[in-house]
Amino acid sequence: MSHNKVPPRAGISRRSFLGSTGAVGAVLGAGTQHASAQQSDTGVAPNSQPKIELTINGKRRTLTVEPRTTLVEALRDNLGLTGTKIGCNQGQCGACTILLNGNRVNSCLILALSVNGAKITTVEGLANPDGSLHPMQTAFAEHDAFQCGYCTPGQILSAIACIDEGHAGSADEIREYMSGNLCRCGAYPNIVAAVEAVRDGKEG
Amino acid sequence: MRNFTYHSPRTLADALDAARESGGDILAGGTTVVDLMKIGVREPAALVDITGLTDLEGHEIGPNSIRFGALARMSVVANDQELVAAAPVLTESLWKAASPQLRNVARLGGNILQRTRCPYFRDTAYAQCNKREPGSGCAALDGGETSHHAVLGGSSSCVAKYPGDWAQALIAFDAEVHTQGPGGRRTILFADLHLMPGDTPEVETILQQGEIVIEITVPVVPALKASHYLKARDRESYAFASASAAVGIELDGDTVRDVRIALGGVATTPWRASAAEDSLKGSPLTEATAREAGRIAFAEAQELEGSAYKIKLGADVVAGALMTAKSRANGGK
Amino acid sequence: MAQTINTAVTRTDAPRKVTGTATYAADFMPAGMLHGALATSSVAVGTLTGMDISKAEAEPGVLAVFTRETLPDYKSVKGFYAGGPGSASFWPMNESQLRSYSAGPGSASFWPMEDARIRYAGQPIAYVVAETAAAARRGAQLIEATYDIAESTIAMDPADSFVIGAGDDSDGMVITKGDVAEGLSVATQIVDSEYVTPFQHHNPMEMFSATAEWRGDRLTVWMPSQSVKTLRSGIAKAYDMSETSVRVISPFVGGAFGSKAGVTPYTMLTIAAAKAMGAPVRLIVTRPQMYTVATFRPESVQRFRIGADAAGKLTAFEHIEISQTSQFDAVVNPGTHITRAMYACPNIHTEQRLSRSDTNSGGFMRAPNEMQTFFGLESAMDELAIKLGMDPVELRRVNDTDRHPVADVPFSSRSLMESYDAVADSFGWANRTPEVGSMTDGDWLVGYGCATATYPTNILASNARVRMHSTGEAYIELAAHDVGTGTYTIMAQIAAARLGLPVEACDVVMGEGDMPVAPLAGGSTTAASAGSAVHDACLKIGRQIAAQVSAMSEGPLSGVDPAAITLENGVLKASGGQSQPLIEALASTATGQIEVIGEFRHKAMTDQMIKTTFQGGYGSAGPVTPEMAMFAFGAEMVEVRVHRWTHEIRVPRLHGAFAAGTILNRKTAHSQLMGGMIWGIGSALHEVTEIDTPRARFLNTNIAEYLIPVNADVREIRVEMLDERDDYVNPLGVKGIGELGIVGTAAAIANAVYHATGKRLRHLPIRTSDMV
Repeated sequence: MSHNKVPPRAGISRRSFLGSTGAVGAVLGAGTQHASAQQSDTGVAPNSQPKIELTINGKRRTLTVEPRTTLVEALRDNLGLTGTKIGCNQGQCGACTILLNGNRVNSCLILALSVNGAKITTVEGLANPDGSLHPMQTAFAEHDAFQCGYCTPGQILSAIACIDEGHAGSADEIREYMSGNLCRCGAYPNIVAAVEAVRDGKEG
Repeated sequence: MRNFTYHSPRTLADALDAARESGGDILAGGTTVVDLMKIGVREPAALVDITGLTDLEGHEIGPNSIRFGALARMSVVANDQELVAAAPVLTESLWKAASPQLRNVARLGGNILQRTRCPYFRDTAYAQCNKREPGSGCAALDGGETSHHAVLGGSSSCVAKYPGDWAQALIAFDAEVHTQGPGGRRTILFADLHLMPGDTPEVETILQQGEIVIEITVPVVPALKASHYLKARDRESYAFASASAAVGIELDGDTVRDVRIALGGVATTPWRASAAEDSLKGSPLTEATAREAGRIAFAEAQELEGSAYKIKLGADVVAGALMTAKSRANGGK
Repeated sequence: MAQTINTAVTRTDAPRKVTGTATYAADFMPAGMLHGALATSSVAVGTLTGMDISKAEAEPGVLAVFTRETLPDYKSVKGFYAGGPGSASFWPMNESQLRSYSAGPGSASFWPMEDARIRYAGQPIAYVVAETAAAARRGAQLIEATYDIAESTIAMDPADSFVIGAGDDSDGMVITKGDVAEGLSVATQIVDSEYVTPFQHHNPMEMFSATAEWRGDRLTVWMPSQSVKTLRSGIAKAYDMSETSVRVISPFVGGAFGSKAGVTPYTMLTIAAAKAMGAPVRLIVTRPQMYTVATFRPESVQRFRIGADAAGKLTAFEHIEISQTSQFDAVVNPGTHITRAMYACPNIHTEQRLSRSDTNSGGFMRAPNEMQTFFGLESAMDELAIKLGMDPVELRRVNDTDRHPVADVPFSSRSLMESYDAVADSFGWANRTPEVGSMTDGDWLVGYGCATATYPTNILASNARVRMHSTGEAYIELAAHDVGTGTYTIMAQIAAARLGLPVEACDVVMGEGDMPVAPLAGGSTTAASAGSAVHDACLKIGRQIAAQVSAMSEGPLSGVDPAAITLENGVLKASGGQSQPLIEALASTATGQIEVIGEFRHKAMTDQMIKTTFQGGYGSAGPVTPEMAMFAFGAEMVEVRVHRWTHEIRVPRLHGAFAAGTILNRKTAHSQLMGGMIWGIGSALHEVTEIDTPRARFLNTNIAEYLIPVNADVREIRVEMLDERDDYVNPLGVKGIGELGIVGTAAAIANAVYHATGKRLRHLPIRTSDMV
C-alpha cells in the first residue's frame, strides 16, 4: 500500500530557515551579476536586445542577446567562438560543455542573460598565449582521446573540471564523472588514459 | 522557444511579486524549464529567475534535521562528505542522477519538481497527452509504447513516470518542503507535494502558481545512516532509472526497528512503499523477508504491456537495496 | 627518413581538434548569414490539407516561411531523385557479386515537399528563415498543419516480404548451392532460429547541417559529408549546373557512420531557401529531426537453419534475411552475401528479402550488412556448439575454409583462426567453465562469449594529387574525408614514407568536391583505395624525377637507365648501386617541384565500376572478384556480468584480435577498432529506436532515451592487430578496419549472457527487462 496522497491544503509554515546561512557551496554562483543594466521592475521584454557582459577566456566581451538566447548560441553565433559545439541542444550529450565561473556546465541549457557578468572558459581559452597547449590538450592528442573530434572541446573542459573537482581518483571514478560527455566514436578508454596522465602530472 | 519577459529579482519579495504579476514560470537551474521551453512543451510568457536569491543556496546538517536550501546545487550537496557519512541515500540519489554538468547547474528545489520524460508528453507532434493538453487523451495508453511507463499510481488518463531520484530519498525519510507563495509561507509534507494523475494529470503538485520552494528539511533518524539508493538502469551512468529504491534501516539486534522504502522509476510520483515497510518492522531482515518486502511493494502494481518487467525488477531492486542497508547497519559498506 | 607505415603516429589534425580550431560545417558562417529551420509532419501517411503559417510569419525575427508552393526553384530539384531506385546511376549493376540496391545519393527517391502527400512521420513540410536560429526554430514550431490521415504502419510485417532483383544467381540476392534439405537430413544437430534486430539511428555527435551561399550562379555549400563528390554531383545535376560552379566544403566531419553519405532533402531545401533570400542560409537540423530527415539502420529478421555432423562440420547452411524498407524505395543491405562467405559447407541457400513500411528510406549504418546478420549467424553458431557439446571456438575452427564457400575462389588472405588463437590467449578463454551459470563473483553472474568478425574489402577507383617541393614539403590533395578515421594522418604517412619526408612536412588537404576524385568514406574503403592513389602518385614522382636526373649530364644517377631506378623510402636507387635522395634529385631539376596525379585502379575493376565512382557513386570491385575473395577477419571475446539484484548487464572486458592486412597507423587503427567494438556494446545492450505503432512514429528521438554507451559502460577494451600480408587487394595491402570491430560484438555479448544466465536472447538490444 502506498502512502496516501492528500488533496491540496493551505498552510503556513511553522518555522522558517530563510536567511540562515548555508556556507557549503555558495561559491558556485560567485561572479554572476543578477541585475542587468537595462532591467527595470517590469523585466527584460521578450524581443528586446539587452546588453550583457561576459568575461570570456580572460577578456571582457559585451554582446546583445534576446532573453531566449542560450549561452552556447551567444558564444558561437554572436561572438564567433565556434570551438564550443552543439551536439543535441538538449543537455543530453555534453558537447557544449564550458566552464562557468570555474564549473563545468552544458551551455545549451543556460540562458545567456542569466549569467550576465560571469567568467567563462571555452576551449579557445586553454592554450597559453604563446600557443603552447594546456596539459589536457596535449594528453588528448597523445592518447588519441578522440576520433572525429566533435565532442573533444567539451570532453577536454569536462576533464579539466573532473580533476579540479577531485573526481579523478581512480579509473572507475573518472569513467563515472566523464559520463556526461558522450563520444559516439568510442574513444572512452583513451579519454580515461588522458585524464589519468594529467592527474599524475605526466603531461605538460 | 517562445520568447519571454525575463525577471531577475534580488529579493524573495520581488520574486513573488514578479511571479504573481507576470504569471510566469520560476527559473532556477533551468535544466528542466529551459529544456521544456525549447521543445515547445512549456511556453511561459515570463520567467522569474530566482538564482539571484543567494540566501536560498547552501545546506546544513543539524542535530535533528538536515536543511537544504532550494537553490543548493545537486553537485555540491552530493559531494559533501559529512552528508555522505550521515545520510548516504541523500547523496547517492543525487550523484546517480543526470551528469556532472547538469548537477552543477540543477538546484534541489527544481530537482524535486522535474517533469516526466514520457515521450508523448515531450513531443508536441502527439495530439494526445492529457498532461500537456488536458482532455486530449493518452497516446501511451492508446496503443503506444509503454516500456518506460509507471506501474504504480497511474490512471486511465496518464501513466507518465516521475523521473527523479532524490525525491525517493526525501519521501522515504519524511522530508518537508517549505514554500512561500501568494498565500504566504507553508510547510508541506514531501509525501503531499506530488499528486497522482487521477483525472487531472496536468496538476502534478499542490504548489500554486507563483509559489516558490524555499527549502527542504529532512528529520534526522537512525535509519538515515544505514541507508542506500540503488538504481537499476540500462546503461551505467547518465540514464533514468528502470527501477530504483531508496531505503534505510535501523536494527535492534537482528530485528528491524525502523525501515524506509521508496520506489523510483516505476511510479507516477515519488512513491513510499509503506506496506512493504510494515511487513519488515519487528521482523528479522533476511534475504527472504527482503524479497517479500519487494513483492509487497508492488502488490498493487498495474501491469502495462511494455513495463510489466518493472514489477519483478523493482521488487528485486528493493530487496537488493535492503541487503546493502543491512550491511551498512552492521558497519559494512 | 624513418619508415612511418605501421607505426603509432599522433594525428596530424590533433592540434586543431584539441584547440577548437578544426572547422566543422556549421562553424562556417558567411557574412550576412540567415538561419533556417524545418517544420516536419506530425502524421505518417496522408495528405497535407492546409497549413497556417501566419503565426510563424508574425514571429519577430522570422523573415520567410517557405512551403512547397512558395519555395522557388525547388521543383527543378526533383528530377534527380525521381524514377524509383535511383540505384541505376549510383550503384554498379550486374558487375560484382556484392551489389546494393539503393535509393541513390539522394538517400530517398521520394522528395518531400514535392506534393501534398505525406509518406512518413517527420517528413519536412515547410522551411523557415529567420535572423537567428532561435527565431527560425520558433517559427517552425508555430506552423499549424492539417492533414487527411491515412492508415500507416511503421513495423514491417516479415510475413509480407519480397525479393528485389532478377532473382537468379548472377543477381546474388538468392543463391543455392547443393541441397539444404539433404544437408539437414544428414545433420546430427540442427539450429533453426530467428534473430531480430531493431531500427537504429547513427546519432553522430555533430548534428546535420547545411549552409548555402549563392554568388550569382555560383554556389557554395558547407555540409558535413562522407562523399563530397556525390554531394557536388548531386547538387549540380539537381540545379542543372556545371559541377565546377558548385563548391562543396567539408574539411572536418563530426562523426558520420553512414548518415552523411547522401544528398539529403534538407540540403536541397537550404540551397533553394538561400537562393530565394538572396543571402546565405544555415540550417542545423535538430536532434529529434535527425531521426527522420536522413537514413537509419532498418529493422531486420535473420532466419538461420544450420546443420552439422557429430564432428561439427556444417552439412547445411540456410540464411534468410528480411529487412525493412520504405514504401517508395527498395534499400538492401545485403548481409547474406557476407554470411555465406564465412564457413565451409556443401549445401548453402541464402535469400535477401525486403518488407515495406511507412518510414523514410533507410540506408547504411556502420557495418550495414554485417552487424545484424552476424548477431544472428554467430548466435546460431553458439547455439550449435552448445547442442554439439563443442567449444564454440573449436566449432569455428572445424569449419574454417581457405576458399569462398559459394564463389569457390581462394581468399586473398584469411587469418580467422589466428585471430581466435590470439584473442583466446589475451582473454584467458581457457579459464571459462562451459556450464551455464557456473561462474559468479559476489552478486554478479559471469559469462564468457565469443564471436567471429569479418568485413568485406571494398576497393574503389581513386585519384590523388601530390606536389613535392625541394624545400622538403609535400602537398597531398584529394576529395577524401576524415570522419574521425585518421585519413589526414595516414595519407601524410604514406607520402612521408615514400617521399622520405617527415609526416609533419606532408600537408594533406581534403574534403572539397573539386579535388581529385576519392571514394565515399564508407565501407572501410578510404585507406585502401585513396591511400593507394597517394602511394601511386609518390611512385610516379619517383619515376618522373628519375627520368629527369638520369638525363642530366652530371649527378649520381646521370646516364642510368631510368627503368632501373626505384624509389625506396625517399631514395632513388639504381639497380647498379647508385643512389640519390629524392629531395636532392628534385632540387637539381629546373623547377624544384613536381606535381602528379596518382591513380588507383585494380585489375578487378571494370570500366563501369570506375565510371560509377567518378560520377559520385560506389563502384566497388569486390569483395569477390573472379579470382579472389577479399575479406578482413577477426575474433572477439567478452566477459559479461549480470547483477542478481538490479539485473543490469555490464561488460567489464572485451577483447578483439583482427587481421586486416597492412595497418598504416597503429594508434588511429587501434582507436577505430576499439570504437567499433564499443559500437558493438551499444548495439548489444543499448541501442534501439523505439516505435510508436499506432501513429507510425519513431519515439525516442533524442540522445537521452536513445541510449548509446557512456564512458562508464566501457571498461577494459583490448585490441590486437595481427600482422598480415595481402598482395592482392591493393599495393598497400590494406583491407580496411572502420567497421570490422563492431561485427562480432553483439553476438559475443549475447553468447556470454547465455553462458552467465542460461537466457538465450535472440533480439537486440538485450536489456535489464530481458533479465528478470
